[in-house]
Amino acid sequence: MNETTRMSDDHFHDLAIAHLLGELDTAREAEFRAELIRRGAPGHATLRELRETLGDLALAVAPAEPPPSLRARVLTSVGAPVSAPELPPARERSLWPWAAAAVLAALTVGLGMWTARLADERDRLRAAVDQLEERVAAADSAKERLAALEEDLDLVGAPRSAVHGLVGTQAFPQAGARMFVDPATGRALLFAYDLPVLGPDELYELWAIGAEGPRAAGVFRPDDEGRARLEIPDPELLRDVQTLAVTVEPAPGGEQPTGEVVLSSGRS
Amino acid sequence: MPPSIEIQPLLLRVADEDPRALADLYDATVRYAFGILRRMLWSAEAAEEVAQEVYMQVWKTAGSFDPKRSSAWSWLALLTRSRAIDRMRAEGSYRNAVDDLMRREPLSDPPLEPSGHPHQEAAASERAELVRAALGWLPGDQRRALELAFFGGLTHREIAELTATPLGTVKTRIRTSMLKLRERLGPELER
Repeated sequence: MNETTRMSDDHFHDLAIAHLLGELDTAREAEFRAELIRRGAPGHATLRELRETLGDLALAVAPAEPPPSLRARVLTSVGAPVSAPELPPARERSLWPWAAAAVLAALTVGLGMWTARLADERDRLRAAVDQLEERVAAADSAKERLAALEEDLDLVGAPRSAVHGLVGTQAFPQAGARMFVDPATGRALLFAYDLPVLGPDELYELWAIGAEGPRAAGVFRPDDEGRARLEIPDPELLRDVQTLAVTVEPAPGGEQPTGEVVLSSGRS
Repeated sequence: MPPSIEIQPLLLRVADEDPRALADLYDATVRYAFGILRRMLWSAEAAEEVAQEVYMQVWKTAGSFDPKRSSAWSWLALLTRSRAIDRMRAEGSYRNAVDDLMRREPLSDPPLEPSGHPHQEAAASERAELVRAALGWLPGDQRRALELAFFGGLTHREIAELTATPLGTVKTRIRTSMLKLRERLGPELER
């Protein structure tokens, strides 16, 4: 049942661009990483070229001058020197005394404003701290997702992993799926794509069909873009399997298939 | 200054926790990073706050920069974009920013502002002009899709909904525009 489907360059480019733009969900990121590993150096070179193209694109906007106070805030926070960058030499040195007087006057008037501004700044920094704490929590959550993703990648990218393809039946020709199985550990993952949207009381169910008939191997619902990931709960379910199939079933799923077949590995 | 070889050593020194290097990197790049943020975010105040976050993140994560995978400028530009999108989504200013983006003139038009670093600006200006010229060669629908994806922070699917265009067409437009830009801009410069 091993099947290797070669990804088109267009699809790889789409995935690489979406990866760089931060659009990929876990399943598609895994698909992209696996393809990147498969393509080796040329794939990495393509990814770098696309990344540099985005860097160029960012350069096309008009530069903008930030407020001078930003520099001090950034540098103070990391203990960097705050001295101003080198400025072009003054054109008219004879203006210095007038400039100095103007600065003194501005300082006098500005002290009151400066005090108020410091208070504003304090409030903003407090808000920023709150925001940073929220982001730390979000980062912890992202770490957990990353760890799960890396586990998937270990399976998807391992040369020893067996790959089984499922194709859409006649009524759902656009749908497809791949199952990755690690023969050493028995761990198995199904990644499906372009699945039709389901009603609220329906879900998809995977069947491992052997000589003794179908065995229920897990239920799943796709995301808004028709993609889904399913980890097979027990490697024993895939023992002596001849055909894999996915059907639409009433929630919460059952022990025997009753609904329409959407995907099949095509062997019987 | 960004499209030059000069900021890579600065970023590598930041990775070694050299605070003076962060000051130099800030001076060399902040107008460009701030330009991206002003393009993407609704308010100047938000752009200022996110710029601070960007350079704080540079300070903390410069060790993850790998010159083999990316130029220093592209690394910083994508980090800046990523933080801006975080802000857009957190504030719900996303649609407003997109509306604004849809109304703006295309990127092939904006002029560079004068700067206090003439020789550095000249190098940046030259590269920016090349990029704008390349963008000017793109058909309007391709350029618009690319701008919405990059500066609007929209997913392919969101662009399809916003522009009432099939998803496959949006993907093709973005991919084609990227490949055309890459072809027109030629081999990567040392950055």
